[in-house]
Amino acid sequence: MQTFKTYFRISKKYLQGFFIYVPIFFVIMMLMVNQQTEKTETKFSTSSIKISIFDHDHSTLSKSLADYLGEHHKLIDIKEDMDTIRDEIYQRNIDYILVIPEGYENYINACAQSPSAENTDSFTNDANTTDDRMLVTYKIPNSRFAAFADSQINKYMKIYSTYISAGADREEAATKTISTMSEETTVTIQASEKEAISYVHIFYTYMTYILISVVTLCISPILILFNENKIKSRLNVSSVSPLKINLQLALASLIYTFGITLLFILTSFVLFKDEMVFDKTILRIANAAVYALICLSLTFLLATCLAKQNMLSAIVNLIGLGQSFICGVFVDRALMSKVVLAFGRVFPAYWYVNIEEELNKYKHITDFTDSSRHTVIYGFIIEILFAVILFMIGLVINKNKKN
Amino acid sequence: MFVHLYQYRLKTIIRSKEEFFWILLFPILLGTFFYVAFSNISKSTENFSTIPVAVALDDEDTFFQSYLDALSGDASSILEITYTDDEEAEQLLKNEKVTGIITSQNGEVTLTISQSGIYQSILKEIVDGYIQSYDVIHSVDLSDNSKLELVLSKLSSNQDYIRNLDFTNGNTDIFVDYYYSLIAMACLFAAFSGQSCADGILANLSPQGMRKCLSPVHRMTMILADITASCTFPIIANVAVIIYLSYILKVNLGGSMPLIFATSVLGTIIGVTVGLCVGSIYKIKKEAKIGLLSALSLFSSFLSGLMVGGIKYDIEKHAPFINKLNPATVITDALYSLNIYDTYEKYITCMIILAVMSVVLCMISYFMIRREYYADL
Repeated sequence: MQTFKTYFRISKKYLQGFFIYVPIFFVIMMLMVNQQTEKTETKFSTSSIKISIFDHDHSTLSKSLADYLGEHHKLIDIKEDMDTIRDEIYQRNIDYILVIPEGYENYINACAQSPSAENTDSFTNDANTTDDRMLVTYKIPNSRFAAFADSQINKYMKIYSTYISAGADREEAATKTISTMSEETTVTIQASEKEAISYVHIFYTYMTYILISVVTLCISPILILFNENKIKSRLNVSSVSPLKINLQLALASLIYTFGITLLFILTSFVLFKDEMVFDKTILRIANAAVYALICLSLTFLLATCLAKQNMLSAIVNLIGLGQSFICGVFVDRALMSKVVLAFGRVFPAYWYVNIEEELNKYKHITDFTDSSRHTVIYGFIIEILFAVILFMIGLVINKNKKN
Repeated sequence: MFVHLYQYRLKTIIRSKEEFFWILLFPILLGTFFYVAFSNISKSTENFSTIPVAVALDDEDTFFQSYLDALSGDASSILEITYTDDEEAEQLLKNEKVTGIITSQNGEVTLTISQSGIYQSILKEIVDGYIQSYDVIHSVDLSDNSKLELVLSKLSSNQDYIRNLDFTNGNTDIFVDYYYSLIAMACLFAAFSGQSCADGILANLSPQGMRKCLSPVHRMTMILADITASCTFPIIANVAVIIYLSYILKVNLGGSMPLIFATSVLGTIIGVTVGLCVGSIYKIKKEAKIGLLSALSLFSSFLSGLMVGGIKYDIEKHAPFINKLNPATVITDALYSLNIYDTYEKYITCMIILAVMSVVLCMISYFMIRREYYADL
């Protein structure tokens, strides 16, 4: 077992890298897990958006409108200048800016009180009107948050001007509008079966990116070293058969890979002990182990093809980042286009995440539907195929190189 | 002599696979990943789209039905209504096919949803509107028939009381920030080119440096030729990255193209001078320099929002001087100003900061490189 021992002796030399990578990855992983929090709810609460109001009218109407919006939304004070408005809206610090022009109340009242036909027409249904006596808004184009505020303000103004048309005076119309606006529908929440976001799920999903980087970057320098011509020649003239040497190398690599994987799995046990369910955890561990095998095969293939560590880490970075973006590791799959996801099938991470998503849907394996069971089984088969194929390609290239 | 030296240095850079990869290919590939991952997000998290809703009504409630119908019908409407019965409506809600269920039984209107959210709030606004119209009719003295007509016509009209003004002519999608950071990163990666340039000039760092020290060429000519060549390739590469982003991926970077190119050119010069400066520190090993440079450029891009969008706005609130000193943030700020503002004041400030930074860095490296003598090598 000389080669086996040498492997670990060399690996000690590269442990420095391991100790740098692993803590960094743990920190990134924890940041990612912490970012994705979602609250579950049992009671309906109306959405509240961030609004700034510039009131130039200071009238009963403008104050009551501002009060109404302030009651339902978060009012934010900013400086009224165009550059600040641009910054704040673009950076999403504010969803909606409302400017009430001077003389607005008088204008609305005049329109509402005069004979109906002419004056209703004085408002166009066209939002691009240039009438500068109307309310002005700034918002992100086509934003759903702005659409919400638009509908509230339009409704408020409609009710107010209806009261004015019906003969109410300013104070009365404002009070009545507030009282009418407080009439609300009863809302019931139908409990959905969707479970709260699971930290274990996020942890294991992000593990796709972490595992491929750590396994490849830790193991490849050792394999590259064994592939060096001088060392290879020395090994070839030794009395130990090449088969034995390769088997020892393979065994050492396997132990190293599973060691790293185990470290991550143990971390998940420590962090999310309460959330772990036995049967699902077994499948998760199996999934991680098979995926680790793929990473190892990939490392073997790359170390065979490339003699330079720098080039290898560039390629691993690309594959790791690329598949994480395309297969739904970094971005929720629900938000991604179907074409991209279809393209993601050529990467192993797609199948890993597929299994993980199925596991996340149910509480226990016994709850699996037929289609879920198929997805999981196919996932495992394709993952194993990936590992085998990458390894075989590596072997073929290795053989040709020798010849 | 200048042209000769320039030519050879350029050839060396182009033939170095690693520089080619990090400066040209990596930003293009990362840009493609960004495109793939982000192109759909705004659509599904921010933009408004028609709200699917299930409606289960009493046969008699034609008023309510016509109220809802006025809000649906074509693609630009607020609602997309499926009329159905209670059971099927619940099934639709459960399968997330609709955002909510509106029911009306014996004149009482209710809304059922599965979670709180902005679309659910808009739905509630709409249903509230119906109840509130009733309230208006009840609380107005309608003894006069013409008044009743007026109130009804007012309530049923869809007048718009709001005039919307565009706050900018640029691209308002916040994900464009990621592309700005990407361009900044590509500019800073030119540091590798600057570092290898310093490597080739200094006699204690490379055999080429030794050879060059012996040649009877004026130091200044040599340094200038090398630096110009080191800038040429990254500048071309970064312009190519921008062309790829805006013409092939069709990302709307906002602002005028020539000025975006100008920003990238100045940004690249900053990158090269940073590399030159670090490369001229002769006490550090080459590998350590490369490590230091990749850490520096990635950390700088990180602070400008390459990994966590919006981080520079948080920094601006708490420690604005970091944003002014961090080259990647200054580059992204310049691109942001081109996109959002209609004046060029902020853009010009950013460009001046970049120019001053590169002059200072150039001076530092010049003082480190010039008149270097070696007792032995």
